Amino acid sequence: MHAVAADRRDRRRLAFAATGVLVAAADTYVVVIALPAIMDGLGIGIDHLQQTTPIISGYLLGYVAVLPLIGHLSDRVGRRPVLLGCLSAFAAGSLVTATASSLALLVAGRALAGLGGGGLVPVTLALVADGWPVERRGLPLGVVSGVQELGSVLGPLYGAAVVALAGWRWIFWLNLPLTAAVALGYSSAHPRRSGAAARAGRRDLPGAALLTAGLAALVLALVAPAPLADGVDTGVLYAPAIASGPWSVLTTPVALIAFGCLVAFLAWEASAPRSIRALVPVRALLRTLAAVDLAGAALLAGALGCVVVAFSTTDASRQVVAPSAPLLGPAALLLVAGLLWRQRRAPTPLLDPAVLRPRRAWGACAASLAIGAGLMATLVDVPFFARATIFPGSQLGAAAVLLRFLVAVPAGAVLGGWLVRRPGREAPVAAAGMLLAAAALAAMATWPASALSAHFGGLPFGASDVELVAAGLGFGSAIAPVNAAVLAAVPARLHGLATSLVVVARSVGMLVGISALTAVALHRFYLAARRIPSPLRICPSGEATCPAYQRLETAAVLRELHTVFAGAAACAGLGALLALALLRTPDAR
Amino acid sequence: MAARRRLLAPASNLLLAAGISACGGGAHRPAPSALLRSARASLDQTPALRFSLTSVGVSGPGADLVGGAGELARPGSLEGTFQVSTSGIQVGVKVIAIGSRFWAVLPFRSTYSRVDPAQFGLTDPGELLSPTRGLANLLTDMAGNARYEASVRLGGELLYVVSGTVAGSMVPVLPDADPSRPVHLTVYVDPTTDQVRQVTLAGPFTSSRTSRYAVRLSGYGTHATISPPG
Repeated sequence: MHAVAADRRDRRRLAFAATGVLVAAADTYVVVIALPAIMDGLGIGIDHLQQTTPIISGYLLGYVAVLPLIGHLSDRVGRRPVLLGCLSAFAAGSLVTATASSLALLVAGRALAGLGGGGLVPVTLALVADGWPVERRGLPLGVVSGVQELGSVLGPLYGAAVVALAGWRWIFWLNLPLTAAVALGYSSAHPRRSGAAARAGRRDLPGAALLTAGLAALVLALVAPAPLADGVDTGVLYAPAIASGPWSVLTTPVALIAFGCLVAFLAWEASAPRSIRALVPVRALLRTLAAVDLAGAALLAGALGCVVVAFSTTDASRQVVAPSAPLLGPAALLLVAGLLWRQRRAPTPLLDPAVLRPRRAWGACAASLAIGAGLMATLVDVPFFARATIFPGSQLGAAAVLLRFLVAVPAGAVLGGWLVRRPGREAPVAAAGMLLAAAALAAMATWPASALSAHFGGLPFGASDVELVAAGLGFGSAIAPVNAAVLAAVPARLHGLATSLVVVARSVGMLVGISALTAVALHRFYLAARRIPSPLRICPSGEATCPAYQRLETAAVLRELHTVFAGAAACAGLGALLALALLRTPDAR
Repeated sequence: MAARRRLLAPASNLLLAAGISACGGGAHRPAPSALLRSARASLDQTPALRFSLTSVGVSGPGADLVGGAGELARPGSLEGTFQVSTSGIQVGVKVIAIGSRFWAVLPFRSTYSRVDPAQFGLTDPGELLSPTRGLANLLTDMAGNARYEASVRLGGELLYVVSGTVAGSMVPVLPDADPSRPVHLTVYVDPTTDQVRQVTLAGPFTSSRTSRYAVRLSGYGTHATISPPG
């Protein structure tokens, strides 16, 4: 730990860790525009949109589940192994996603990547705490939360560009070199162990060999290069034990060899003689995992998982939530109750109770939930609106429309930050921002099919552009006041944890919002579509589709999107109320 | 298949330093036409089959078949789901075909309607098992110009690979946008059972651009009953 001011090495480490946070944050949003391409790639029709929400919410689930856990873990095991471990998980998840042949594998890959990506945030915040004294942490903390916001802007644009140039799988392939660059850069800036410690113990050659073999086999199993997988001699390695189903690719001999090597690697690392310098501190990790609140994290992940499953496995043509909801709902409540009980009992609970005790701290989290739900719904459904109306089949066109919203978010964040430069204004500024977003979304909930092409007389933009920018400005300007309120409410030593809690709350809001709003909207779409007569009656010569029928279908799609925008407006309005009621400074009452 | 290979190409170039020989079978292999005849015989014998369909590069002016899966049953019926793409938006369409009758659950509807398969650019999907117009017939048609390609393993199973061409008009079910050009067929046969496991077709189906379909077949010897929706 460095007592005084940050030195150059601290700044470099933070710079690389923050770059990792940026890549991981962008990955939350990167699929927003790529979703239609992914759906086509996996053969999922737009009529099963709800099945694909776990591509977004699965990542958020992983992200959220580890966020409160990793801080404790890195306190005990060390920043470097935890950060590199998180980067490895992110890279492994990206590899699974890039090679996924089924939706189940894709979602599993996204969740794994989310676990790694989410873990980067608390380690990076801990680096700030290590390198900067309490009174000088404002700027570095601001940088860490700033890059997370930047991720939401860059993610969709980057995703759209990669899809247009190379296809959606490349989004995830590119994560591998990005992650490697961050890992190398961070390691180069990390203080070397002092001479004696570095020399102590022999190199872990057996461990390195097992790990290399395991990873190589895993890559070969997932990538399944055609000359190997289809080869007469080598193809036997690709005969799955389970011939069909989403997981069959994980049951080939080469995959089993990979798992065998990796299990052997972990066993070796756990049991290797102490004279060997282990690659992964498995023993320390196991001790630490026993000490941190793993059960709390599992309860949180389980509760959120119930929400994801309830909304994504439904048959939206019949109902909003899956038939399993009567079981999943109470299960989720039980898990939340378990989490709360655990919070009171655990020696090191998931959340330090001191963080959430002040009204403005939990109020900021409540407002962030609402912001997250509204924000993600807007991010996902504005591109769908663009594709359904003026840009059929064009990812880039849809991205261009979303850009109006995206650039306004950071502009609003700067504006919000400027408005709350003096304390005491958090509540009105946040509430005004959320109200602006709510008003803009309410207007978007009435957009006709021509909304995006209608311009003000003689001007190159129209009301829809103004509304998109207003929504972005509104959401953006609420971010800084919410953060400021929580920072003002908790003691400085808890600032890192408090900041990441706001991110957790917003991610949970996004997860619940995108799951629930998509399912509700898709169900309303089916209700609307049911009233459309059969195309065989509408189309002049009894075709299965024709322009007149397509117009009616588009109208039903717009009703679906209007529902989402209205839901997002309601979330933003609720956020405004929560901000106004809960973020007031105590003396301003 | 092809999509998977294209995306994996860069990685496989890296990984595949050593060439893997795909010599396959060799000495006791029957002539390609003989293999195709035996394959046809085993296809003609099965009362039902499961199929799955994938495609690469299909894009036409209307609603195009891009994928699907389901069951085929004799004499001429099919039940399953077709993935149909209309101006870039893909939807799943449940279908039943019995003889020349065809029903589909059109996008966003909940019940079957009797429609003309030509709406999806198709002709009588039930014909796939027909001995005179179906897949079996394709095997006989290509026998004249068939030749062996290197054998492969798919899902671990060793398969003989035979390629050849047929006229587009001979291909059942799929559209034929340019009758002047032939369709290239590649047939993957399990030599131990003479069962066709996969047929890939490359030709000008939905437009003059070459697109590819791959039909995987399984479930030889099973029975299935497909009845009209009701």
